[in-house]
Amino acid sequence: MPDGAGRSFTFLEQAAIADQIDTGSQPHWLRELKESGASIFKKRGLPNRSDEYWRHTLLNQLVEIEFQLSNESPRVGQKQLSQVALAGLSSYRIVLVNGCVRKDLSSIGDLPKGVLIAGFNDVMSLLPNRLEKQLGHYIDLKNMPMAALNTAFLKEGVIIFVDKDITVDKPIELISITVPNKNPTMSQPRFLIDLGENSRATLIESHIGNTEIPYFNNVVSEIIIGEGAGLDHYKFQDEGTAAVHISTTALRLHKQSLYGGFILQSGGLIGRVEASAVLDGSDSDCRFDGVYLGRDNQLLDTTTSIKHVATSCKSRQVFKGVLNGNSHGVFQGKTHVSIGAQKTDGYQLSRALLLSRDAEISTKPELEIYADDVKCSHGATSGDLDADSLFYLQSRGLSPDVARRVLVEAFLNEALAEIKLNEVYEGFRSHIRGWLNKNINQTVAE
Amino acid sequence: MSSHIDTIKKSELVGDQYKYGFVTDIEVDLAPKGLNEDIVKLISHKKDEPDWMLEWRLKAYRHWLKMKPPEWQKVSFDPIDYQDAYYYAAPKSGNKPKSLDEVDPTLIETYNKLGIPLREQEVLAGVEGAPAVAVDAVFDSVSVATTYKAKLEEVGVIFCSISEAIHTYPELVKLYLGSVVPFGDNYFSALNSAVFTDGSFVYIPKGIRCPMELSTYFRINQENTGQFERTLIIADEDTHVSYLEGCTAPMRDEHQLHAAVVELIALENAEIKYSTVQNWYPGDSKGKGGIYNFVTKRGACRGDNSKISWTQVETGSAITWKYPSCILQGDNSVGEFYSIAITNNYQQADTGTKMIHIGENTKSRIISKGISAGHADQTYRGLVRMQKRAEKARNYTQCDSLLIGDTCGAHTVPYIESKNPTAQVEHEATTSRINEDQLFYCRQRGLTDEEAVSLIVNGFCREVLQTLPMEFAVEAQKLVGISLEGSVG
Repeated sequence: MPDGAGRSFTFLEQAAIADQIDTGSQPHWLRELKESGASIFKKRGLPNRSDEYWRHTLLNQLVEIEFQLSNESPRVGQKQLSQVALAGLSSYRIVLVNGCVRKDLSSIGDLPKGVLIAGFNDVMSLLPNRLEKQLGHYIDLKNMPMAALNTAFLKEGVIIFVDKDITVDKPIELISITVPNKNPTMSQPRFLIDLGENSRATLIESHIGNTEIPYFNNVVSEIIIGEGAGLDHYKFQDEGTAAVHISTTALRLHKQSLYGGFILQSGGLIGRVEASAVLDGSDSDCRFDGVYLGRDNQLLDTTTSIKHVATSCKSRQVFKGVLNGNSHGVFQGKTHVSIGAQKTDGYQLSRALLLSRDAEISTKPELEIYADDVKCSHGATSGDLDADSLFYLQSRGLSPDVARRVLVEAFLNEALAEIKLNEVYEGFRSHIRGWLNKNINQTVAE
Repeated sequence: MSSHIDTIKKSELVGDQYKYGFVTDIEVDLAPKGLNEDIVKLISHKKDEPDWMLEWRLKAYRHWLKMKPPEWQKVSFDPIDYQDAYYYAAPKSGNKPKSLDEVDPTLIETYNKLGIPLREQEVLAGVEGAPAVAVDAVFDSVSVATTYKAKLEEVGVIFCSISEAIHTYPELVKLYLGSVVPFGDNYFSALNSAVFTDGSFVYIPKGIRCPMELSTYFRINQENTGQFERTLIIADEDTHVSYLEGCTAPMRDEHQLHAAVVELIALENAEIKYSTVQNWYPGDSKGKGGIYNFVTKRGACRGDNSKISWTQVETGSAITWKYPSCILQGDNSVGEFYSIAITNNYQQADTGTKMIHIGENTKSRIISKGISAGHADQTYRGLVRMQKRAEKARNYTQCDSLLIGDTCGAHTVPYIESKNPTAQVEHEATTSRINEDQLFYCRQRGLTDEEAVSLIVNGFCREVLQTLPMEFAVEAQKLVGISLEGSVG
């Protein structure tokens, strides 16, 4: 019996109970989708060591702690919200608390024509046919047990539709806050983002939890980028210190489309952000960049996969990690080039800095290539800060800690430089600085 | 050496893609087909082994029964029927030959065809100053001849078949056999431990630099046989040894299994250089037949300042599946892995290395060059692990893949794990195809397509070819060209 297989049934029981509480008016296709998720999860159970892409990320927390599906959405004030929002950013904002959409906290009133940002249930009553055609069609549940679990619970989430030729004038902010009560709670939110032909949008997705109580946030996103369309997607994972955050994103890029994704991960006890893109239209361009900052006993996992199906597509990934304390960083990145995907240009770089004696990094950059006229490469490094550079800065009068911070910031800049939106760049940078000030003080200065 | 060049010339004339595809008609002593405890006992009995050896084999066999064949590798083949093969095939020669003159002349003829200078005179009569190479020739399951024994004994180097070592040097064998690759390590090492029939044994005593290259040639001749050889090399303190391994097999329609285990042990200040040119029959251009080469090779740098260097040129076999590895236990120990893997037609290869850094200041270097053509599929799979104690350890890895044609595949799956902040790991990998400009340039100078590809590929592999001992380098370069025949145009 795989680890946690018994526990996985408890999860499914809860999904079934949640379903019964529902008035039972859900359409046939939705029921079928949920059942398929439940049956896949039942067969696989929680991922364990024998699942190649979960070798380092063991979800023991989920087995040990009895998480309850959260049924209440506690009070959260605008003040709390402003603490997590990016300074000076004007945006369309949709807020989830404990996985449920909160209209009172959201500000999506004055949306331009052709743009829809709404909660899952509203869209279910408004555009059920469109949801039926898209929801669950882009994600490979069979190979993603946690996405299957999310599907079994499918009930809450956010839907964003942008019509053909529309450029959304302001960034869209999707903020998910978890405020658990005394018992460990879980939420299973679902996002669907569909950009029509030649449309443009910027999405800032934040997951925040300012608490030490354990909770479990299992997010699934499906993103479709139409021909000639472009999406900039910034993801910020800053969950509570005892939280388990698992997010699975499936992307589909059509002809000449652009996706620029940036992931900043620093929260949670276990954080795993998985993104997989299928480039099935020629000349599309997909970027995944990111920074992860680990401390204490954190485990931070970034798993990416880019599948080149069409010709002349470009993909680029740059990930930088800084690991302190007993933290463990995991980076698994795959570039897949299918038969016929000629003229592919695939690049990947993963670098990690180990700042303490007990930090650990596991990297697996992978290339799987079935076409010959391609240019693919990857690089991976791991090590400490360069002693000569440290000495140089100290000889100029910087204290060892300040010198270390300067070098770490410089190290992270290669990835951060990919952020196009200034408010996000500043926001992420100040978060990183705060982290460095807190975590680099006489760490390895022996 | 002269015979090397001759065979290469011959093969060029015939234009044969696999020049070693002949069968030698020779009387053999075959054990019944199938695998069970009785066969294990029979093998042990045939070799007149002591009880402890039989016990070890049986333990391995019983363990093997409990194991399942691994499935994680990126190669596909029909399940192997382990009961449909012979586990013991030996050339019938009555009594053991006492000298080379008593060895069956047909056998000598076979090795001559292979271009292996079994007869010492041949080498001596060759080019002046040609280096002497001591050879242990393994035919199907048994070692048939070991040359230069006397000269090696003078300096105290032991170079003999492993069967002989079990009898003559039981203490050494008992101490080291299975100490690097325990029988339970994996499915094929367990199988090998149960039924291995022969292989080479090398012991370099303290302070000796082995005066000549040691070499083993393996040949699978008999139909339906598997070859399970076992090689054990021990380099005691302050020693140096260079060991060459070559392998061939006749062309046959069915697949044959080759599951060898090679263990290297380097004690303080010892250095072992292990070179392989693997040219088992790769199957025909439709993917029919060929050898399954499932090999476990591992070296342990036990002592401080020791070094193990693996060089491999993998051009043969229908399926190659091996990861020559180094366990860097001693402080300042060094591990190296240089590899060229060429797959054409329907060949599959899943190969790479593991570098386990345990000691302080350990260093490793991995250079892997993969060339994939036709419908072939190739994977580099490697692990670099920096253990907590591996203070200031260093690793540099470079894997380059070259694709020829749009129906082949090349994959890179490196695992990099570090638990020490002072350890530095660098990994680089690229995949591309042959540069059109380079091809054009060569053709413009009058080279044919195939000559141009061969030249460019040789250049691509140069870094690895340079590390081969001279005896192998010439042959390897030719092999690179021959293996890719028919892949362009």
